Amino acid sequence: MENTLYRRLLVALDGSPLSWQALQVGLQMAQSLGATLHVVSVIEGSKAPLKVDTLPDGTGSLSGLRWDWATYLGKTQALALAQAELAGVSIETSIREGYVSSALVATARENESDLLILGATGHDRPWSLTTGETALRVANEAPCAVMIVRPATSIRHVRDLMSREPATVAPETPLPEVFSRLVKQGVKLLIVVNEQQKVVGVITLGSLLTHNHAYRRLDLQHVANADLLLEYLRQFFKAEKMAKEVMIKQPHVVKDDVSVEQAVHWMISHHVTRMPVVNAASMLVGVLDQESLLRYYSGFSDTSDGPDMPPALKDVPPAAPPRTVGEATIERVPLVALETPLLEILQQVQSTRLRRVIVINQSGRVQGVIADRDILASRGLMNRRNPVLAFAGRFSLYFSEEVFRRRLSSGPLTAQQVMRPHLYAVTPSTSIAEAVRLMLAHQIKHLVVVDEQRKPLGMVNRQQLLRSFVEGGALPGGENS
Amino acid sequence: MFEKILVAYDGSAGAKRALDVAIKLAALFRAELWTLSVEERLPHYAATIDEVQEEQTFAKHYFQESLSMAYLRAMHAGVELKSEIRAGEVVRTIIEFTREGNFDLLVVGASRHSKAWAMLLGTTAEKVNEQTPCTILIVR
Repeated sequence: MENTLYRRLLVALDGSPLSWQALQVGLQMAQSLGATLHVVSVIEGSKAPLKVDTLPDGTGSLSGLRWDWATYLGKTQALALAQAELAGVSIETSIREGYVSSALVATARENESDLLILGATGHDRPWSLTTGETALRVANEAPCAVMIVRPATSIRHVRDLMSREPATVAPETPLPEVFSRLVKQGVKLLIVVNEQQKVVGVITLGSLLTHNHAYRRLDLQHVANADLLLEYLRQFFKAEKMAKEVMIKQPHVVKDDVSVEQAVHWMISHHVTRMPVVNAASMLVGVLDQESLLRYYSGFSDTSDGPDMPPALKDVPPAAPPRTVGEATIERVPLVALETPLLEILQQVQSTRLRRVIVINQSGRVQGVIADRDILASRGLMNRRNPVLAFAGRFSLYFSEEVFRRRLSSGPLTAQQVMRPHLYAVTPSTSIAEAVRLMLAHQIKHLVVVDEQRKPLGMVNRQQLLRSFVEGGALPGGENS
Repeated sequence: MFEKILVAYDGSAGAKRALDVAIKLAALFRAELWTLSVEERLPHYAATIDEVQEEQTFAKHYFQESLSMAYLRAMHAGVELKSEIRAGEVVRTIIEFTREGNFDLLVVGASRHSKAWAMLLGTTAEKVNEQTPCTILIVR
């Protein structure tokens, strides 16, 4: 196509998210227009990311505290080159020193660029090199057209991703019913709402077991004795208590108009996997969970409500309540190798009910476990290391899926980097009481089941095990822990 | 890449250049193309209802005349052009319309007076919702 629009493009790249987006815009325009593309990064020498007014002892040099922009931008540009190659666009790069706005304007002039593309804002403070003022100054002084890149309007909000059918109970709901919802129906987050649909508390199986009444009141002697613990739990679940007495009061909630980015950031930093969503009038409107966030980031167009809640377990207590892990249901979980790329893990994790995969080494032994939470938390890593992956899902990039996959498989993030090292395992002969004790003492929801050669058989989960002994009345007899 | 493009169009030379670029971009990316023309606040000297209406009629005529040129240019490039005329304060109206219509690119012509796009660009000091919510292309 004959290009009568722009022939020489210039992109300002400082490694911030919006500058990566600017690069994507530049690459696509260069490709569509057949234009040349130059990428420039500017070192504004006077700015160090660590703002230290005085050193503790009042002496010494600040030079050691300066951020090594040259190395950082060098790496950033290397990534840019890789992305350009991927897109089939050849680019030139340069690094300049000086004030960002004047350096950009000068580069545009020297290169006779006819379009300068830059992000509206640069890094977050205090790292910022390009602020809104920079963009404005460039817009005023540049000799050419200027494109200021902002995230698209279609930025997603919590309300776009949340599930609109939160599981709720009234404050007066009796504990056995709460237990039944959590354990039998497999509800993961039970939201306690009052008559005005305002959130007054939340209950999860974990919070019920560890935060409130059950576990904390047990002294160490009880913990070491699995039998006593089980008996205690059994009584606890049948106790005449109400939801409002066992709930976490004043839980964190998220407003439905908050951006997804903010919500994710918040959830990761607070180790929260599910949150009630409220509207402007503080009324409960939904629940945001990490499964839907993962679907969003993985770019899967699967819009079905998804297996957020596992199918309710059969409501018939087993004829002979299991005594050992081997007799209980061991869930099969996908096994992945240490060098499995992240995208594949993501798909595997999403395909399974427990949302976990087991990482094994070459001889088939368990090395670690990856849960959906670990993948979500690794997004920060992805942002730094693999902007293609981080941004492709959010902005409609033009990479075909194959290219995307190819890039990923050669990309740096693998199972080994994401997994949690494997700490606790049980064998089929372990008693259920002991397995439950392990779970409670270490606050874990799933245990890997291995055979004698430490090869994985699957996983057992807390909800299931609890159900099997409390419901089935399978109080352990003579096992010792 | 760009799916919905808006041109701030006041019939000036800068706006015409912006329109030309936007038409090319819309053709290139098969994007939806809109123009927005904003009637400035009515003159203070308009003393009677008649005068106000006269001003409004004049503004409509003015925009429609330059818009018909815009339609022709777009048609020539094989792009369908939609347009909107609104009354109000220019920058605020543009921002509102950009947000309402979920535009992902706003194209404006550079003029000698940078004040208009200075407000469009916003600075970090301003609240996010007072800034243009999408990418801006300033055409020279």
